[in-house]
Amino acid sequence: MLKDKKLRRELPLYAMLAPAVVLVLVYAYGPMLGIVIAFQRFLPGKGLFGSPWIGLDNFRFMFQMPTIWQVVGNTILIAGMKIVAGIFVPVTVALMLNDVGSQPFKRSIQTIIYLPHFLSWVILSGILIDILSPSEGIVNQLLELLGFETVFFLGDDRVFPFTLVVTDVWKSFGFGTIVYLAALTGIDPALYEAALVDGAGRWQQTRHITLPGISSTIILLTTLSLGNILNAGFDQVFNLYSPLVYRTGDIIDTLVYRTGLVNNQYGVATAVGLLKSLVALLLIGTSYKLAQKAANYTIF
Amino acid sequence: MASKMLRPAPLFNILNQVLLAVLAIVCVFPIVHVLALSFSTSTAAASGRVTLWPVEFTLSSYRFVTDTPAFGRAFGISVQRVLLGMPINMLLTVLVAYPLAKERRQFRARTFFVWFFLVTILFSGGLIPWYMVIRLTGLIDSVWALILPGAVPIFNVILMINFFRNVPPALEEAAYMDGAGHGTLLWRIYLPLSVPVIATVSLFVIVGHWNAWFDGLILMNNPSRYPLQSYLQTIIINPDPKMLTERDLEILKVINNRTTRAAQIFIAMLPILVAYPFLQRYFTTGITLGSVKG
Amino acid sequence: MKRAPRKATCLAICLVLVTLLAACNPAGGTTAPPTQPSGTGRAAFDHLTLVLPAPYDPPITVKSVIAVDATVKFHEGETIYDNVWTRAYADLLGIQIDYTWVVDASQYEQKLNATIMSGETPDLFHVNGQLLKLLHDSDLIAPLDSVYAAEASEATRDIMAQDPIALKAASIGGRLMGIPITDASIASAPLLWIRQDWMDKMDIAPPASMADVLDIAERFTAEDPNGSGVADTIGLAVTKDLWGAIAGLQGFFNGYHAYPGIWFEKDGQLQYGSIQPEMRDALLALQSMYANGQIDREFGVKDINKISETIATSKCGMEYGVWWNPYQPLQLSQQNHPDAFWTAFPLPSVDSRPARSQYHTAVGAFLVASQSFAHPEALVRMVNFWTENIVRSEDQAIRDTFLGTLDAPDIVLYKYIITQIWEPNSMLRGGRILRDALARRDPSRLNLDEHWRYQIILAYFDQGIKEAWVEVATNGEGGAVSILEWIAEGNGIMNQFYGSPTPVMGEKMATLRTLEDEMVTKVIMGDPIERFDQFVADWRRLGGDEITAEVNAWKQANP
Repeated sequence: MLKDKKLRRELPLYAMLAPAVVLVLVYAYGPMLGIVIAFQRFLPGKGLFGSPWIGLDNFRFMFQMPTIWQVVGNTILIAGMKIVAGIFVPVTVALMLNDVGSQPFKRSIQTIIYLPHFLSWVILSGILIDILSPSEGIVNQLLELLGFETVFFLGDDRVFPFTLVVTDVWKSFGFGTIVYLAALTGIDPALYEAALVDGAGRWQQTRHITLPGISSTIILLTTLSLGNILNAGFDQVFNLYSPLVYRTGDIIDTLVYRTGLVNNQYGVATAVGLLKSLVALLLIGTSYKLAQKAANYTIF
Repeated sequence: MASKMLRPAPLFNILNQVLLAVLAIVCVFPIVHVLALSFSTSTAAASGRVTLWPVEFTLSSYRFVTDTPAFGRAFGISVQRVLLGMPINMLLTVLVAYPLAKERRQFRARTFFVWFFLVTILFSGGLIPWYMVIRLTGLIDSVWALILPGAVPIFNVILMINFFRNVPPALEEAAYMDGAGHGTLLWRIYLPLSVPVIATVSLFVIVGHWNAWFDGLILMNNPSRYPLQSYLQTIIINPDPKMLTERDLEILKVINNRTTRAAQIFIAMLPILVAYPFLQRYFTTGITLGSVKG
Repeated sequence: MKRAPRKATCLAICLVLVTLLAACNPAGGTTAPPTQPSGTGRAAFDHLTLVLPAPYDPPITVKSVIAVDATVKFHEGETIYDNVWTRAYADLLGIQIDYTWVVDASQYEQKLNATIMSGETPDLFHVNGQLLKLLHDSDLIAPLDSVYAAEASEATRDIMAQDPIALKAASIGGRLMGIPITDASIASAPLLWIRQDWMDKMDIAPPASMADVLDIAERFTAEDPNGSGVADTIGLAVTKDLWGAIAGLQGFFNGYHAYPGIWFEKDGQLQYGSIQPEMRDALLALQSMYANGQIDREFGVKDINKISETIATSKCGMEYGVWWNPYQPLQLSQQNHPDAFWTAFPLPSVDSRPARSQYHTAVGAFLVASQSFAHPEALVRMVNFWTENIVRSEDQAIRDTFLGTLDAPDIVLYKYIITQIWEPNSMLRGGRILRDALARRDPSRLNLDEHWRYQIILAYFDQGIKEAWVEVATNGEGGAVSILEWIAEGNGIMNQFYGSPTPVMGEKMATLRTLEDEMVTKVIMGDPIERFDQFVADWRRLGGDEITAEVNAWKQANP
């Protein structure tokens, strides 16, 4: 029967998925039961199902913090800018690298730009305080040389979010560049030859062949990075911020961290995590639909 | 490939290369700084005199690091972790990506499984339930605790799915007509066509395993089971002077953490630096990759 | 909560001490080389005179957990699971210690949380104040009143009594829930540290008032004390954290009778220091120092590492910090500039009333016993073993066996146990004995620890070993420890709130501290002082008044 035949054809696919499904069920779905902590006053001895249920108290607690909305705003703004810059920079660098003829040069650059990824924010923050110093830092000396005002990158709360974005991109753009470069190598060379015959210039080539060629990769990486939107980078902010820039630099995670120093609050921590998940779900869902409608591209 | 493109104007070319070189310098700066620190004396480091060149050159930090038996042991565990974790991650990534790259008519349960995996990126129960599950499955103190819970890297699976989907359907149909099953298709057609993405994902997996530290600290009860980065973390984080007791002051050590730390960071980076160019070769052996689809 | 605090504070070298140590290894007649344990089992300890209870027979097994830094070293062949302490517990007390896990101190809390949450409470372990409360509320830990009453030795009781709040801090609802880990609370009191060599060079008298402090800051900024030929010095070091143990501001505010960040009694009520009107003048003074370049223009982003660099390169000659600052980071300046010497001064005051240094209790951690553990008295016995025999011991052989020897200074044996309880008074008492011995040049009454410091201090005066200034400035005549002793005689002010966080405190305090630090930083950098008044109003409105009420209710309940 046709139906059986179809099923038989599908069986190996199930078999392929089986080991991964088991592992994910155990190690990802198992711990998800812990989400109930968000609705409890969690007491260790009582466990997940014995702790008292307190409804939405943990969420109420979260939203009662006096600066919570400012902090949510900072988080979204910083994360949003990081996402935009996180598309633009690696794509540009990948395009530039792709134009380089010399293989050794290309490879060295590709290796080098991946390097900052290996340094933790603890290390990098020490270096950044030095090079961004308004009085002695090399960056400000350059700015002065070029006739600009010096900028207090880490201490001026109007500039601080941008400092976060730039330094974050600096640390991580090598990663995106590698993926985009791999995508660029996949574009059919015949397309360029045809364009050349048609007399298309470089800009036109880039616009009509290269960018569409990697658009699916761009959409893909961007959608995946949306998952991090509320996760604006605890390690980075924690190591770089100071009371000077709380107004624009404090994010949900740093606020929760400072609250956590005062009290052990598993319930609140879980509630914050849940809120972040929900927002991320909303954003990913939206961009999935957008990608499907606008670019007719199915991400997953 | 670049060679087939319109050759850029020389001026543009030069500008382009200069810009990239500047970018590279900006990125290499902190590494050189760390390297210079690792070869400097602790006094020079503590007074902030080290920038890009070692001050009062010394190898003592490296000697200190390599003389510590714990370092070698932790290094070995990290190597073990990568050697076991990388193949398992890659195998599972491929095995999950292949079915999910099928059209819905070829694999009717596709949508269900896509969401099954996707939900796990979004929701997590937090640290404590995670720990409880791993303990219940008996993995504490075993290298498998560092491998199995993260054995299906969803992000990489999605990358892989998208590359698999670009394998021309004609190829698959032809093979199918010849009586090839899914196993053969995957092995003979998909994988050979996916070398760049496999190289890319392998790199991410290796770097991920090599750099992970948090799980090691929490899941290993015995510190002699720490992988390298977890071990480094315990040395890099300095004691909080507020917590120092009177007695601690007697044992302030000969070695300045800053230079030792720099040496350790550098040694820890080395394997990746060595592996990277090797994998990089594969990035450029192109196929249809995230290409002109839709 | 999910991440451990990452204090990027750089523990600097004390090369000095270790070389000196090698140089004056006290062979000087006081010690024989450590006796190698000859026998095994109980016999291995036969050569020591120890006060011991009858051991458990048959022996009991105790499941415990411990934080051990990766830098902790062991003798060849020993581990955390097998060392002199595990053997002593087993052979002398009949207690077999079984560490379920061992983790770096930075991850201890997280790991302990995960362990307890997943339902495997260890038998005996070490917790902070918040966890003590949580474990009590969850009925996971046993009250210790009866075992403490029945078993605590005289030495244990004496040490606990030296800090009047120690046992109170360990009690919840009138029941003793843990054994407090004590230490000298006075150690957190700020002092004023100034470069003595600069003062001498510029002919500056010791500061007697805040006016003198401001004057010194001005001269250190303007008169090129480091002789570099350029204006590269600042008057007062301040970190972005504002209230740290190094280059903090508490001492400065105390000079104006303001006590930021602590609760103290005023008009019969506990009040929060940071909202009191005395803050104003101190803020204005700091503001004008900043405006005149006496405080680093960029102090708002500089962490302790950066301040250490400023100190190391002799770009700063004054800071407020605790007694041990010479060990770290002040000794850095001496490494680069051999003549550098920092002297501690009692806090100068703005008026005729003496300034009182603010400090807080050292009790921040407790030893607890699981409710399901059948032998909670074993905890008290382990504590007794430590207090009776070791922490106050003058017996060289005992100290060598259980604390560590000078030939292996990097092997610190007491790091292998959880009962590291220190005598609150020992620092001051030891300092007094040491100064007395120095004055008489007679080390005969000194214990190992004091003797070691004695030799280092003499090395400074007799052999001109300049690196030894660290000990001179802390334990020498007129040094930091002697000032602490004066502060302890009623010239300090202790944080009167030492309970676990109250409900609204847990909810709002983090945000309020944020507002406070922001206000202080911005006012110093030039915002109008009205910002302080605004802060006071905001603080009260945004939960501060509720917290004050809670704290006073707590005070009522814990008189």
